[in-house]
Amino acid sequence: MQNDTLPIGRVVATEAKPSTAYSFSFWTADDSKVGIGTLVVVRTENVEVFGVVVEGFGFTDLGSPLHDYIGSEGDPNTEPPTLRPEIKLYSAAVLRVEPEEPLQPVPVGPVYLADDVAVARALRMDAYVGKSEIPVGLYQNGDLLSPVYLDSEFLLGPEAAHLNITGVSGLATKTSSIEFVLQSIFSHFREDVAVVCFNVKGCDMLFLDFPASPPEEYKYKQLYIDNNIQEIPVEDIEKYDKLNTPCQPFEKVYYYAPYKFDRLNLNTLRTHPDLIGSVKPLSWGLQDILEYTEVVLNRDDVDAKADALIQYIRQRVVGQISKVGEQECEVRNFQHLNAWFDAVLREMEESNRTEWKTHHYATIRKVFNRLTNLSTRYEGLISPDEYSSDLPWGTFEDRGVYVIDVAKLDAQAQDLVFTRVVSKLREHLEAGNLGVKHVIVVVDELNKYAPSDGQESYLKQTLLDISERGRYLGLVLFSAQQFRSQVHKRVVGNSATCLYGRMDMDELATPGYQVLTSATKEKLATLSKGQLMIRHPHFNQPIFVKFPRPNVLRGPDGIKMFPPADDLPLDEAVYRNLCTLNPDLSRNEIKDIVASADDDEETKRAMHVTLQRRPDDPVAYFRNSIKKKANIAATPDAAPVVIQSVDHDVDPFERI
Amino acid sequence: MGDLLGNLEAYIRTLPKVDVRVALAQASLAGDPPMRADAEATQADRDLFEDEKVCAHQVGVPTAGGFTCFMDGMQRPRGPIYINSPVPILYGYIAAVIRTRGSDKKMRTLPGFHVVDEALYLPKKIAQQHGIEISGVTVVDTGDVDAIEHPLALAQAAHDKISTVRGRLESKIASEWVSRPPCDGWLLVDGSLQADYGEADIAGVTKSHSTQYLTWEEQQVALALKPGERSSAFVPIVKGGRRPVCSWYLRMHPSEGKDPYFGLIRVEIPRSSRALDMVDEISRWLLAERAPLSLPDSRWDKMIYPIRDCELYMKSLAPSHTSLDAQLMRLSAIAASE
Repeated sequence: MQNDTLPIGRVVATEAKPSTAYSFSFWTADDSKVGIGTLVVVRTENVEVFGVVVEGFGFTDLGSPLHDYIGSEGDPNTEPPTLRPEIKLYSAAVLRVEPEEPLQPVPVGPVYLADDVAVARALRMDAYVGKSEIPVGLYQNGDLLSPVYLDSEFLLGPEAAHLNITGVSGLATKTSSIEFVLQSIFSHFREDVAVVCFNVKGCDMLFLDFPASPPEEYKYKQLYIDNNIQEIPVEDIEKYDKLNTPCQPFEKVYYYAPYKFDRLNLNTLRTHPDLIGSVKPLSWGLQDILEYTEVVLNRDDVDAKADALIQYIRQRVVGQISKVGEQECEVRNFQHLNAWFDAVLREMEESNRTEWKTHHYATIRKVFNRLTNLSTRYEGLISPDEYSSDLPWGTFEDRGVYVIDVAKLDAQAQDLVFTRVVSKLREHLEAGNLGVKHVIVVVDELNKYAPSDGQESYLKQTLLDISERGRYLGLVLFSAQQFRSQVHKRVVGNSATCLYGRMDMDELATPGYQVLTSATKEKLATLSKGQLMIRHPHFNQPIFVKFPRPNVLRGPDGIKMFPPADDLPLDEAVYRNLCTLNPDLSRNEIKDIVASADDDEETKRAMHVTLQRRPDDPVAYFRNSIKKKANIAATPDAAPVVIQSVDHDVDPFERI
Repeated sequence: MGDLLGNLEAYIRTLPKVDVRVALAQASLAGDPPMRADAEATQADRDLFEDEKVCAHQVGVPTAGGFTCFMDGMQRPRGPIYINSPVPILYGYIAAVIRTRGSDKKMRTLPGFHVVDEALYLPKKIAQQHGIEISGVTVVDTGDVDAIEHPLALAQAAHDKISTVRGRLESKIASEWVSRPPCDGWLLVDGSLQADYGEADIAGVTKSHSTQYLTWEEQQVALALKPGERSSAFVPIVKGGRRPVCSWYLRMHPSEGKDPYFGLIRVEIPRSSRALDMVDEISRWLLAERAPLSLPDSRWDKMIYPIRDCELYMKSLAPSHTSLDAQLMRLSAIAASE
């Protein structure tokens, strides 16, 4: 048993392997608890040197393996009466020296294990603990567990920002560590902050509001027991205590998912009847996506001519009354836009003109094809009518987590969701009207979305933009991937804080890891669950920590407890959707209304209008919406294109 | 270790006129210069302790466990130093240690059984005649032999004295061990047994064969020993006196194609009533000590590993040649600076 106040080793320096100002070697007793990543202190009369063990060597006085073979007569069962002395020699990299000047080679002296205070000083955490500390894990030194803190000014800005985590799949380290860091930020960050999570695969982030270890009186306690859900171990709960972070799930989580192609059922795995009510649709109309046409259209489609026409439509057509020849049009959704294009093309054909407002017939036809096709291509995400359900821009809540489930969307739709959401976040943060000052955007699978090679995409550009300019705005990227070497250098390079879980040896062989010693790489390749290596601007060497399992229901467990529901038929889907406005609605009454409607599409449109308007009496409003359509009575809510005769001599766009 | 050379420097600085010269000897490949006795062959005599004539005996299967303690000594002479005269003064560092092997097979120093001695060696009488009276440091007089007044002869006398003091130091701690054995088992010392240890559990192993005890014909038998064979036991006779030990030769490693002395050691145990009964058993213990090999030591064929361990331990604590030479060079620099 070691006495913590006694030295555990001594510095040794030889001509062949001298100490430098940045590294030193020391040997330890056989039973010392020193290993790769251990923090140590060299104390002499005049100087204190803090270091981290980066390499270990063990050897005897044996000159050649052949000597041992000969000595044993070639028989491995031979047990010599004397054991050769075996030394454990470690190399350590200097973290800090006090006093800092003059910077001299590390002196020969006794070596001690670092205690809590020494850990804080070694990692220069004493400069920000008490001001801007964010616990990230526990550093283990022998039997001691010392908290390790990140500096929020270097994690969430403005000094530096962003966090990137790398690790092999299947250990749940990447997702778990991000969840724990977020929980830690929520309980320690002194300013307001919200999180936008993109759930890009499976069900990873779909149960952030459910605990892994339910309290005694919890509503679903029995369900946990029935499904044999693994609770948070006691040692992890102790880690939470040491890190002064509550062991609980996220309190304010809001889920968003686009509709499926039927525009009734949400395209997510969180569709269990008990949970679907907490998922809001993510649905955008024409006006919402028109400024992102370069994202949704093929890059080859949007040449200069097409772009000019699209800009014209954005600025002079959509959301206002415009004229096509003698007809007056109001375009608020894709249906209206189709009618507008029809009117323009008809007028050109009737007047036998090849240009309209300087736009060539072929360009108009091309843009018409591409734009009107969008609501079909992105069906479920882009609404053909003006129904829009979006994130609460302007009213983001402090400590709120907004999960956008894009796992089931194709790559192009994901591109649109990322780009639009991040653009809106940036826009609102710049204007200071988002509702919070800081937003953390969580993106997994960065290999896929910001690869180091391959085509440029708007999503990649968006991620680059966040990583390069986000910290000034309070927009912070927490990203994760399996292979850091395959992510765009500027994205990971701008990430001030980097976490590493267990790594693949092939990945560690890539040039990005050359700064790590072979022992550190070996350790990285064998890290177990709950262990991380951290790089942070205040730490001049990587540090290994342990972090507790987040008290959040893991995705697969959540699916086991709350299996996704089958797609609902029209009447039931309408009822369920409208129940989000008022849970006491009569199922039969809604079903009767749906049955009385002639057209399913019209029923869906009426449902969306009702959901958007959020009337006091949803049933009445829903019924009226269907009736109005049946009577072909245009309402401001569902106005089709209105075409009226206008004076041909007046050209409202003649200045263009 | 005291600051002997520092005190010598302080003494030199008190002298009104200073002319200090230092001869820095090169360290031998083995680390330290060999004793003269190791290098010169001498013929001695013997009384056979068993058998009517010397013959070879199979000792049986090697068995470990008999030896638990091991002793070795070292010496590190530097110089000579000449202070205002051609009288050579040698610096001598000597040490002796007993290390014990625990049940975990690891070697540790027996508490109280590591002794060191540091002194200057010079012929006091001759030095005084040249006005050298060193104070404040430990001085050992080397003038008790009839040495001629020749610097080289005086230096050799100092070297011999260092070896003698080392032998005494080793003998002293061996006697202490014998008088109150701190643990069970036998003590194995490197070299000859220096005293009459009576019935004590102590054995000595000699690696050098500069003193030959057997006749020419008997030597042929010893040199032809095969691994695991020993010669007949005998009592060494030196300068007409029967030493109080029982001795025999033992072949540790095969010597075919090599020096006939390769792997050949001479063992001594006290000439006690049970000595003859112990000869084979102790031989078996020694054979068991062949592993691990003492490589890379050049004497690995004769040196058992625990003795090498003792040697390494003492050397790790001894002042290095480099630091000693640096201190000696400081002395020679005094004259230049004044």
